[in-house]
Amino acid sequence: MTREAVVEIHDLVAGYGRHQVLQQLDVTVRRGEALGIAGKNGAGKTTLFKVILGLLAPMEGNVSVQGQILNTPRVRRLMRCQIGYVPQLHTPGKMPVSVHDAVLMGRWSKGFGFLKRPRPQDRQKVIEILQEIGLSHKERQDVRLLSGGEQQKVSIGRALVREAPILLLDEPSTYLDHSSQLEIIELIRSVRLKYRLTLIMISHDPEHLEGMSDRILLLKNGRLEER
Amino acid sequence: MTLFDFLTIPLFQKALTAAFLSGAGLSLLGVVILNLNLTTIRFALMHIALLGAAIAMVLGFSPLTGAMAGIIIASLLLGPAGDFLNMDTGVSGVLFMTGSLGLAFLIFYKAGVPAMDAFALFSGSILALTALEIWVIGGLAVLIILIFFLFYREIQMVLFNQELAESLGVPAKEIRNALLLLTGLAIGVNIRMVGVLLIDAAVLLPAVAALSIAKSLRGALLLSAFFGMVSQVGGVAFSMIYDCPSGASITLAAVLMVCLAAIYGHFVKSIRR
Repeated sequence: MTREAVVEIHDLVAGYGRHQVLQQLDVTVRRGEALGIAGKNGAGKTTLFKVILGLLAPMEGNVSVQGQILNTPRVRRLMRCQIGYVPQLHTPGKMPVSVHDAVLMGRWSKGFGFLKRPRPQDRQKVIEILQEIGLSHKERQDVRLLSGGEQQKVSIGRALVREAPILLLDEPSTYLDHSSQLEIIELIRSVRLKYRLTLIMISHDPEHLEGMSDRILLLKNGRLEER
Repeated sequence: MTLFDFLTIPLFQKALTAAFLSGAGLSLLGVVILNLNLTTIRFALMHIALLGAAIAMVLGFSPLTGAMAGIIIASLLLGPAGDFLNMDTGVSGVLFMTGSLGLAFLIFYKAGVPAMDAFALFSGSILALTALEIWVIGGLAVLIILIFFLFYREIQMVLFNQELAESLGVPAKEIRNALLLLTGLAIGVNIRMVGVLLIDAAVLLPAVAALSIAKSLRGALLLSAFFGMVSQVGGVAFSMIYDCPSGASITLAAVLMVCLAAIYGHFVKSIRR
């Protein structure tokens, strides 16, 4: 039986100003699927994520998440709660943030009570996810002092704490050493099964998507092609 | 005269009040400047103050009025201009800085206004503040503290990673633009207190000291306010007792804070090892 479509994109044209990055792009991602999208730098991978996240409105075509067409700013904002986003690993800034607080950020627009202060259940969820990603013992540590692999786990934890059914992962294992890559791939596999997640992952190198994806598509000239 | 003798004189009472308020509230924005990589913005706003002063002098207003108006307008435009030009805010700040400086010199030359009157803005004095200006500093300090209290989570996320904040549904651009406006206002107010050249001491150095030892944004903000108060009030008190320029005393007190914080940070790290 064919599973229901969670993300549907039809004839998508998107870009910046007059420059079209994505042209007539079509793809359907079904519940529980792990889709990998590979493309060179500038191919439009990040633009595609921005459209799915509702941060960039399509110029033409339709994008729907969980059956809702992202055609108004309100719908785009609402559907963002259905998505957990793991950005590319970046050099931590100058601001000190504990592992707990960095993961807690994922509860934004999902939890938080009066004056947007976290509720006990928000903190409880963070503790649960920290156990899941194996960073309970570093809960109070400054994120800037963690290794690259641990920082990536924090990013994944932040996405998981949203309790969203869809995860978008930008270069999830690319900038890590080999052992950390294996750990992250294993973590993604296990949380995918445990939380029944639908995954969309992007990378400039298809090899980095192997082992985590059910199928890999190539993004070329603004369109998706079979590998 | 002892410090207690100075405290009975209204002029010094006003100066210490202004130093306390500026340290407690305005120093918080140093944390924003450092985290959003806005160090060029300070220079941009200083040069825009010069352009504002030049335009005001041509139109017959006081240079300070023009400088403040220029800073407020530029603070409102910096964020959206960076977005429109697809530039980092720090880079668009460079554009504002060089453009405003070139325009200011053109005005000085063509309109024949005395440039030195505008350059007088580059030196300030905490002792020359009027009662109204102290109210403005107090109001701004309260506004900054209130905004940090009400929007702590949003500010934390924007300072941590703006792209991530947007993806989580935080109105990141609006928060960043509001912080830019507050930063502009804080710089404008501090121009009157310590002058343009010593503004880093008032706005930036307390945050540098705080970030070298803080473990969270909350800690960084509290420490920045504490270091700001100590360096500003301490600097003013020192200048009274030892008859030194107040701006220079505040600056040196802030430099001392940074050094002490760095030593403390190294000490704590070596103990942990």
